[in-house]
Amino acid sequence: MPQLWTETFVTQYFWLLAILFTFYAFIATTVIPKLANNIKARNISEESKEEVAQEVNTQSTTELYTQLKQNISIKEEANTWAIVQSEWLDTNPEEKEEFWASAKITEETEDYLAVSEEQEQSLEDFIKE
Amino acid sequence: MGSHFDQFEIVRLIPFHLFGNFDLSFTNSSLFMLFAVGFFYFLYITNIKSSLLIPNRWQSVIEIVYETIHSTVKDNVGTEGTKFFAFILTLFIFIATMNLFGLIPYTFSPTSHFAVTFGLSLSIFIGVLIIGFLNYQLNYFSMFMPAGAPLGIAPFLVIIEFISHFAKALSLGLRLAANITAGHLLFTILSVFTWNFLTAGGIVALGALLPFSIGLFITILEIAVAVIQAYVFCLLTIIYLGESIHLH
Repeated sequence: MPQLWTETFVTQYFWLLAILFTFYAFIATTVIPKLANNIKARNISEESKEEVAQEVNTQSTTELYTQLKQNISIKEEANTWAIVQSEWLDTNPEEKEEFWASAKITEETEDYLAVSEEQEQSLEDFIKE
Repeated sequence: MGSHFDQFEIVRLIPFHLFGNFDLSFTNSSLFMLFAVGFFYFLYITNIKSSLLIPNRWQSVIEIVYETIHSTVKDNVGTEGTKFFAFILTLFIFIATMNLFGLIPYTFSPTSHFAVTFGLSLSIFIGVLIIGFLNYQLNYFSMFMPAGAPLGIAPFLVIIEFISHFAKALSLGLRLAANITAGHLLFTILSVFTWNFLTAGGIVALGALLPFSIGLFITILEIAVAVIQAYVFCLLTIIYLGESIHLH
């Protein structure tokens, strides 16, 4: 059985230690700090999610309604801004590309920012006025 | 046809002898150890270095490994054990990657060699002894005499405990090498069966379906064994470390 050869023990053991120690140095100094930071950051965001969930649980229906209304108005404002922004950007495709590159977000975000036809119509009416 | 054990043969790729006697040749075993480390480095560069808050698949896998090993160390050794966490994580990734690499046809699995696994387990065992001795000095040897045992049987108990303690170094390495060897031998035997059926021709060739389908099942099983054995090796290392830190 080659697995029990004693004449290759020294060479195998030497390379095992050499490679393992190098790998250990890499894991301990580079990989672990990176992973630890990632996990810590994610746990913080999980904690804040729980905090929000707890807040929602303790709020009354009226408070929730008011908050929801506020959130909707914020979203509508964001949509308005997005349409104005995209109309402006549509006039110059180069600027549009530059905008998406500088914003460090993908164009998929456009879908998220998209608004309904009614909202778009109301905005157009607003611009005409 | 060659022997089933041909796949385990050590080939000296770059022969090198130190002082004429010490054989430090770079072998196929060393090459596949480097491959395992290189593969993880590649994963790091392509997936972990960018540190995504929403992780991709590989980053998720590495983070799950990180959290599992971290919680295992903490549960078994306590907070004192966290200083050994980096070593245990290195050990798990190193062994698991080598085991998994060995499953690819025409590759080599260094963990099937007793020289590698026993070398590793012996080094760990010596390390554990040193840590225990540094923590408890001569009191460390009190573990050979379980508390509350009758004095009459003390000499026998000490001998039994002594043997069982030192057998840990042997069993730790032997378990890993034996499991990996058994898996590889099973692959070879099933492949030879399949090939023999296929080359027989005619209706007999259909008989190849049976060993081939068993081989497929064994492949899934061996993937699990590769990871489980790496985990068992690390878990036992953690337990031995725990014993040297918290003397019973």
